[in-house]
Amino acid sequence: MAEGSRKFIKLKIKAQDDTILHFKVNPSTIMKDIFMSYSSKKQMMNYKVFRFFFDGKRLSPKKTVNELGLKNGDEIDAMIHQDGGGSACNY
Amino acid sequence: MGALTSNRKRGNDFFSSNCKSPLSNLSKKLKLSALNPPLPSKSTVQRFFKYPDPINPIRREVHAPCRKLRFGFKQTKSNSVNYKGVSEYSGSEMGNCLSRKHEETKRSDFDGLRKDIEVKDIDGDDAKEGFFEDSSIEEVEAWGCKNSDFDIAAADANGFEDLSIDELERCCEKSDLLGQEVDDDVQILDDYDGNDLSVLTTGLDDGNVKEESVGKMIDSLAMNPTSDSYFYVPLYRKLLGSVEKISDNLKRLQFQIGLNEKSLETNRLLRPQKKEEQVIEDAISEPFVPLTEEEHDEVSCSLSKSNRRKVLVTHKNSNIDITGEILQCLRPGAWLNDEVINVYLELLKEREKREPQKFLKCHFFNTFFYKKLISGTGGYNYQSVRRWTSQRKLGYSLLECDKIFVPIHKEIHWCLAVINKKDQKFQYLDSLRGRDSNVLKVLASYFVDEVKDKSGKHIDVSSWKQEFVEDLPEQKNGYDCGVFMIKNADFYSRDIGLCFNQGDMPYFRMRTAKELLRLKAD
Repeated sequence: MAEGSRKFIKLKIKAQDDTILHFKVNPSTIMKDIFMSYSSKKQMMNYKVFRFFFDGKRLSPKKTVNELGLKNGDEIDAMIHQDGGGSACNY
Repeated sequence: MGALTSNRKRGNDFFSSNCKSPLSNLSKKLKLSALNPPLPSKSTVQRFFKYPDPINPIRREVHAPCRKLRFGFKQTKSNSVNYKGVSEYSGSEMGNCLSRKHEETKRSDFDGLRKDIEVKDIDGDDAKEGFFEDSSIEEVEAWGCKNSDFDIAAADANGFEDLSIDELERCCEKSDLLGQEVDDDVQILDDYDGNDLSVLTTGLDDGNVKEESVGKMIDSLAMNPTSDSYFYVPLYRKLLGSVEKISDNLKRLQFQIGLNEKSLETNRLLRPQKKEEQVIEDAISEPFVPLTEEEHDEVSCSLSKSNRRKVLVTHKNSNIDITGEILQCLRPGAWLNDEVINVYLELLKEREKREPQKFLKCHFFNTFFYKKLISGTGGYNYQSVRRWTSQRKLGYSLLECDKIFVPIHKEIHWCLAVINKKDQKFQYLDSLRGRDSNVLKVLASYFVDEVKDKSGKHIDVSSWKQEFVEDLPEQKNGYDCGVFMIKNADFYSRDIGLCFNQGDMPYFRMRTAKELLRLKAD
């Protein structure tokens, strides 16, 4: 059991409103699974509305936790997609 | 004395033409009338002077009733000959005569002094001859024009040499023999030129060297040497005189032109930055290189709806997949999304790494940086972005960059903030002319904290200017601000002015799409 718990990594995902969700993941987990889990918890159908960053670097959904070099306790930023044209912008 | 010389000439005319037509009488009379003014001298200047005087008496004579009768008599004869001549063999003579008239009018345009008199006279003649010559004038006019131009060219081309009076005389004889219709023309035209004719003949008889050029002229008109050439000569001489005057002026002007050109050249040499200007011009044309047809097709294909799900390109460094759906924001009228902007900014950084001498050293933050920086309570949280700019991550130090670009996303609007280390100021560029002083304040504190964190030094930015750039291209619709934003960054990283406008946006959309598909910004 001790061996198994060592395998797991605790990750935090921080939303733009500073709310944090905690995840306990296997190092070989593909990031996409984590993103989808996060999205469903945020009541989002598509994980692609979020951009996930770690220290300003975009995380690829195709890679595993291990490949991205994420360590225990790392905090991932989840940002909502942006677009804009400027039509109804008021100052 | 002059009377004698002119008499001699008339004698010649008489011999040559009196057997053929009753015109000889007429010509005699005409010339007599022409001889009324004082006699011509050899001096060309005097001849010029005296030329216009005899014209008025001639005119009056033409209107006299007795002449009309004679003309009428002659008309029937010459008329038929003329028409035949035009159609059969003597078209050249007719043409020559007319071309000469044409030339005279042309010359008279050039010769300002005598313009009025000559033009009037020619008009008068045309009116008189109109009865029987109008048709032939029209027919031959075009040909005459060409011929006259050619003649002038030939005369100019020939060097003035080996001219004999004999030649000239031979020409006269020839023309005399050429027939009645020619004489006819001569006499009619001589109405106003009679004096000149005598002038010429005196010159001829005296063997005046100056008159040789006349012979030359006739020689050059080898196609049709006629007696018409007589009154051609004074005009030619007059022209020569005026040309001399003009050429004096031309020489002066040419000298001035040469002087100015030289001073211009020296001025250019004194300005070594000319080359730099050239480079800047190149730099300005570079962002506007049109897409080739191939690229255009490729972009249009990628922007089509069929590619929605397909991943077109993946930017490895930033782990961003550009699908057809994402790229479609570059279609005209669409709003730009963060993916396209972030990849494009990455490409701008790669471009600068590729050609560091051509672009300023810049850092481009992604579109989420500012959002992250102002997240949390208090609206400013340096710690949340502290690890974004470690040297290990970037591969270079943020502090050595000339400009740091920070895209600002405001709900549904894109604008750009620049930490301009080179010019020591914070700039805010909004294509809709918006102002947000908070952005610049936040960036100022960020920069201070960043310098402190990365280098341990304290930097004072209180003297740095916080500038809301006013002199920038204005957005005129509700969807192009993203393109304005990335192009502001593009042009600023080239260190050139924002020399584009709303009209360039469709092109920039296509160009950006192409650059994304190639994963290479130019």
